[in-house]
Amino acid sequence: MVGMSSEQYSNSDHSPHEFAPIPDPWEDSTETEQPLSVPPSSPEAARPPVEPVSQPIPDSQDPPSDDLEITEDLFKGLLIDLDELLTHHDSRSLGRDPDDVETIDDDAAATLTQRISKFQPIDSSAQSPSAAAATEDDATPHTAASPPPPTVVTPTPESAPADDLSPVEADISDREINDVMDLLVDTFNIGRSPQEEGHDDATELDLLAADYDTLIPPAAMESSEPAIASLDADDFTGIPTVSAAEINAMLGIDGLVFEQTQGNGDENGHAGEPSDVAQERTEPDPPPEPTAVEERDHTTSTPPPEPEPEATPEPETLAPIELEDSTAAEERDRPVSDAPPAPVAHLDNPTPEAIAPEAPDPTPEAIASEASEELDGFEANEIPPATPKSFEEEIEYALQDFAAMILPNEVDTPSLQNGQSQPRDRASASRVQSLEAELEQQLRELMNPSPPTTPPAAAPTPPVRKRVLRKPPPPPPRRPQSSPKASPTPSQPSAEASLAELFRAPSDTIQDPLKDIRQFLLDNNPPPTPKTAKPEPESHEADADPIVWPDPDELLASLGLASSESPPPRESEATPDPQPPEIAPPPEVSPAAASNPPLDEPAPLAASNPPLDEAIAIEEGALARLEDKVAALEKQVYEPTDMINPLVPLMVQLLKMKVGTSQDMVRAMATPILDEMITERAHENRDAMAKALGDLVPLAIEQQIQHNPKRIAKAIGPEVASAIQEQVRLERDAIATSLGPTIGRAIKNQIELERDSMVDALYPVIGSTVSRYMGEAIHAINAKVETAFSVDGLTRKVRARMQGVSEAELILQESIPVTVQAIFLIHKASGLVIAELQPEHEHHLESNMVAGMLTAIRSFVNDCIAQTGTISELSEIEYGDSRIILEVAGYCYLAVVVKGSPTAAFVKKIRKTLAGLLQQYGTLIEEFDGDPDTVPEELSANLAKLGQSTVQKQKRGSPKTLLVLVGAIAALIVMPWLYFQVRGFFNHRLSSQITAAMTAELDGVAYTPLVSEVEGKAVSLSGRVPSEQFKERAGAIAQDLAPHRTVENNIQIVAAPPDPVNVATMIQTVTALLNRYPGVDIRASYHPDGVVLTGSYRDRGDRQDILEAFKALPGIPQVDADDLLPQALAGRIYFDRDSAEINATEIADKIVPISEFLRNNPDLRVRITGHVDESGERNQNRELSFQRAAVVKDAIAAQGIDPDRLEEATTLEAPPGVTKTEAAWLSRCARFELITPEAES
Amino acid sequence: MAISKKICLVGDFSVGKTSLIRRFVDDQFSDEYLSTVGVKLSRKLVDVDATADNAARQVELLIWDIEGQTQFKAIAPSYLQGAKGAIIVADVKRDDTLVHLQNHVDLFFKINPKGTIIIALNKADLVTPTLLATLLDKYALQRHNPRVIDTYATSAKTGQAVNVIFKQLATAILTDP
Repeated sequence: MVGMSSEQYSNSDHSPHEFAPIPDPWEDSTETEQPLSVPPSSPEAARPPVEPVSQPIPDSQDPPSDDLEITEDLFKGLLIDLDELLTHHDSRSLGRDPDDVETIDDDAAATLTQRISKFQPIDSSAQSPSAAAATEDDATPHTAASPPPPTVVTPTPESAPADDLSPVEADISDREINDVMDLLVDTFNIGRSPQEEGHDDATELDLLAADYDTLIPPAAMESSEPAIASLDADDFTGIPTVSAAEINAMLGIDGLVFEQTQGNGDENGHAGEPSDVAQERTEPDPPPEPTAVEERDHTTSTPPPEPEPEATPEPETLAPIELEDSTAAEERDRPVSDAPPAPVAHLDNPTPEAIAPEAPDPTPEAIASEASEELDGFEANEIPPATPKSFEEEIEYALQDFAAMILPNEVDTPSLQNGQSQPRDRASASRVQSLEAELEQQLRELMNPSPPTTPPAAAPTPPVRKRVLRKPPPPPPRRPQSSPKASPTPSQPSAEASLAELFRAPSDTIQDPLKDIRQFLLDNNPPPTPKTAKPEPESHEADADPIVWPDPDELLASLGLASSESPPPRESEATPDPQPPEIAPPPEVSPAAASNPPLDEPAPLAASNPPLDEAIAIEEGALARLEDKVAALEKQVYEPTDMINPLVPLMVQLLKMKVGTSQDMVRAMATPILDEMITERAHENRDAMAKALGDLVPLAIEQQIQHNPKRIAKAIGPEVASAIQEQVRLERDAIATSLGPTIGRAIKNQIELERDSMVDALYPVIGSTVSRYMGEAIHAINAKVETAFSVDGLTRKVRARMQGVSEAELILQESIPVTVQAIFLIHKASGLVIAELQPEHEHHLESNMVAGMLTAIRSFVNDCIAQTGTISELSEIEYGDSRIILEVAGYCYLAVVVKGSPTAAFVKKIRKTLAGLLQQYGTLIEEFDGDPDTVPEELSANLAKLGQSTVQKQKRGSPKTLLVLVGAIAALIVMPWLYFQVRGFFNHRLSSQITAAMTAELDGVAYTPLVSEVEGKAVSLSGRVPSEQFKERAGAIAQDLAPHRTVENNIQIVAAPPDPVNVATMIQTVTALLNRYPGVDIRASYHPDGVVLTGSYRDRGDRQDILEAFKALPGIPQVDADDLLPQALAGRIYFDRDSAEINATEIADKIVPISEFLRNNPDLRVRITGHVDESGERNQNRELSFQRAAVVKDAIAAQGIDPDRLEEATTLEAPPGVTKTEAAWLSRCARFELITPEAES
Repeated sequence: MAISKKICLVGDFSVGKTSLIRRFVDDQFSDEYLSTVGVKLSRKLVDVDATADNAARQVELLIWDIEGQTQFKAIAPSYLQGAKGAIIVADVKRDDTLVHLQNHVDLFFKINPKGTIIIALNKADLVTPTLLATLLDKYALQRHNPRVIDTYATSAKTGQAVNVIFKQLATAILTDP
């Protein structure tokens, strides 16, 4: 009992840690009704499948039924714990070592205790799987089961259902755990009985895959145990060994549990039934176990050579086992849980104490203890030689933990159970009690011989606490479990080495211990109860000696298997005592007589088992062996790492299995804590966490971006701005450089995509910029336009015309200011600046650099661009609105930087300046070698003058000169006009004066008004006057009035027209006078055109006189003397009617005189015209007239006159002077005319 | 006021003329090779210590970094006009550049008979000291022409002798009658 209690103690301590995560599944059920909850869950899910499948397993195990079953259960429980630890605990328990644990401790402890209580019951139940439900079932199954596997199995399921019926509360977590348990069980089963494997039908590949490694190895291990070690050496050996070790541990634990349960039973004070049952169980169990083991060995032995077959069977078994096992396990667990309550009641008091002192520590301890327990088994098996002390300590812890676990469970459970009044509990309790009683008796017997155990008891307690204390402070890196262990054991550093050893360690070594244990089990199993009982006392004894030892002893005792072989060192016994006392003191123990006093506990146990004395005696020998074994184990345990290491692969496998079998469950278990785990870890070790996650984060983000870009955007979106802001704050340039190249492209892209938006975005900026620039330009242009019609404008117009440029161009030119920005006088060869001029305020150019570069450019142009052989110079470099004017001379050149377009005059000025400089400083410039001190001031002054000249030029550019010019032109235009205007006025006045004067004097005489006109220096007079006299008078008057002017006298002298009446009279008078002359007979007829003279005269002299006389008459414009004939010719020769015959008289009278006249005037020629009257035909008349003329001619010719002087002519008209009214005969005539009278005249 | 002097860096392409200048003027170095096109001008004030004949003065060195000579393109003589001094640069890793040293010296003296020359065997950091020593001996052109002041092993990368050559050249130019 004491040993148990101590174990429980330690367990409880450890448990909290482990169960901290567990609470989810277990707590719920446990809190309300652990016992109740446990059974229900299992039955529901597991029962149906379990029955068939589970049967095989139990069968094989049943023979050793109690132990095996117990071990199975325990193993399951442990596995569950482990599982939980692995899954859940990591986050919490790992992260916080002691402090955090405290908070969790209570719950965890409770759960753990519950857990443990379950284990206990399991033990009890294992003894009697149906213990909880029905003691009978338990008993029967064990007994029956052991020999015939199927039968045994059946009962267990039955019992399970019964359990389920009563309390039906199953948590999923429970199931999951159960599943894990099942897996473990499967492995276990496989290990145990390959036979069963065949039975198991269901197979889950996942499990198999995961389990194979683990499972196969165990099998191999087992197989190897008996005979072959070489096989184990395989890689798998490590893992398998673990499993085997686990099994062994389980077995050992089973023993312990069994003991505990017995003790509990005693405590509960239930009837001896349990004890009987236990006995019964124990009795039957032993035989089966060995057989089972043997069988296993055989089976295993067979498989080792052929790993494959093993593997195959395993999976099969596993799958079915899972279901079956789960149910079975659940059943067992429940019974266990049910059973524990009773024992718990005893231990109630102790648990609180234990918890109280160790409150902070318990969790780690518990974990450690559990682990240690498990490890113990493994390690012990694996590594026989190890430091004894550490191992002892470890064992102690384990035992204590166990005890603690049990105790709290007991406390919790009893009340619940009581309230519920579960029959099974009581039944189990009774069994347990009986068992306990037996154990007590045995213990007492054992104790009696060794009384000193009590004193050491005190010692052990402190160590426990110490350990506890120690454990918390050093939190191991991996897990709290390992940490506490490591801490207590001084050989942490060695742990790694040991670990390595473990891994490297050939399976043989590991197997050996296993074999031992198994052998031991085989030996002991037949009488499990007594053995178990005995080990406890032994353990107590062992505890007593060295504080550490008791626990291992107990463990060994519980294991029983191993202990037998090795002679146990009694030293360990002492320690157990102290622990038990602690637990015992609690009042609860009261029911159990032995439990009350710490020291007493063993005694009562021993006392209770008087009948077993014999067995005890027998077992003492076994105890001795056990102790030896324990010693060996202790050594191993000493190195916690060794303990842990085997666990590690187990855990891994467990995890694997768990994950494989039920990913969802694992997920469900892990998920609620995952975040906490992470946060915890992050708290603990930020860097490590960052490192671990670091690699994944980019990938994860990448993935997420690929799969769900929107969400990423959504998540990051709000922070991007601030992130950039922060980055900008930290490193301004970095962002710029990283974004820079992209921005350009982005803008381009955006412009392509959405021009308008870009325009809108830039509008405010560009708009203002452009508008400002344009505003300035427009302002300037406006000014120009305003002055367009001013003198400026006019002059510009004129200039534009003259230069052939548009006016706008001129305006623009004027708008751009022209300024000289710099003037350099540069040495041509070296490019050094001889002198320079730069306005102060302007941006100062680096003269030598500029000069050098210009020189280089000049050289470049000359060398590379200009055609070879030609001398060409760069004269201007234009850039933007500026330009550099280069004026090159021999050894230097002038570079003038001008903004705006320089005028030609300015360029001329530049040339002039340069010429002047060369003239003045030619040698200096030529020899310039870079020393500015050699350059005289005047040179710079000249440059300055040049610079100023441009400025002045600009000023002169104002239009004033033009204004004057234009004014002058205007004056020139206006003045003549004015002059003429004025002169005209004076002229007009003068002319009017003259006119007036002339009019006044000559108006009476002048026919028309006399007018004077003044034109410059000339005065013209116009008008009409009757005589020259008046004209001259007018001229004289004008000349008087305009003495300095020439008088142009245009006055016409106009004669007055003769009075026709006067003319006519005068003509009559003249005619009359003339007619007085002899031979003259003329008549004059007057009409406006002149005077027509007809008649005859005597000779030519007369004719002349007549004509002169009439011509002298005024008013006779013309004198027509055609018809004025000499006297001889004046007569006409008349003919008869229609005749052309000249009368004789006519001839004599007329022709002869005519002939005489002609003879006298030989120069005269005469035309003879014949006339006819109007009678007769026209042609006849014509003929007639010709004949008459011819006749006359002939007649005259006949007189001796040259006919050539005679000329005949015809006419139809009447002869002149004869009118139609006159007599016709006057018309029948021939008349004479002088042909050349005019010429003659 | 500082006296200004034009000096030129002459040599084959990629011997490190620009790098030498950059090291001297900006005290920077880059492995990146950027071919100089035409001419690049740099300017630096150099303090010339007082000598027996002259007081200490500042010289404004106008450094003409002239496009290196390639087999297709000779150095434009006009760039050398008016230079008081020159640094003829060769690359110790390339023998042809070393061989061309004499050509460059001749060209420079042809245009500036009164000029001063320093020879820089550049990239000295790339060869062993022993090799350097032999090269320095082999191309000690100062033995043949008094107007060649000295021959240095330089390294624009490490800055070896860079400031020295410029300063010595400046001093020589300034003190030269």
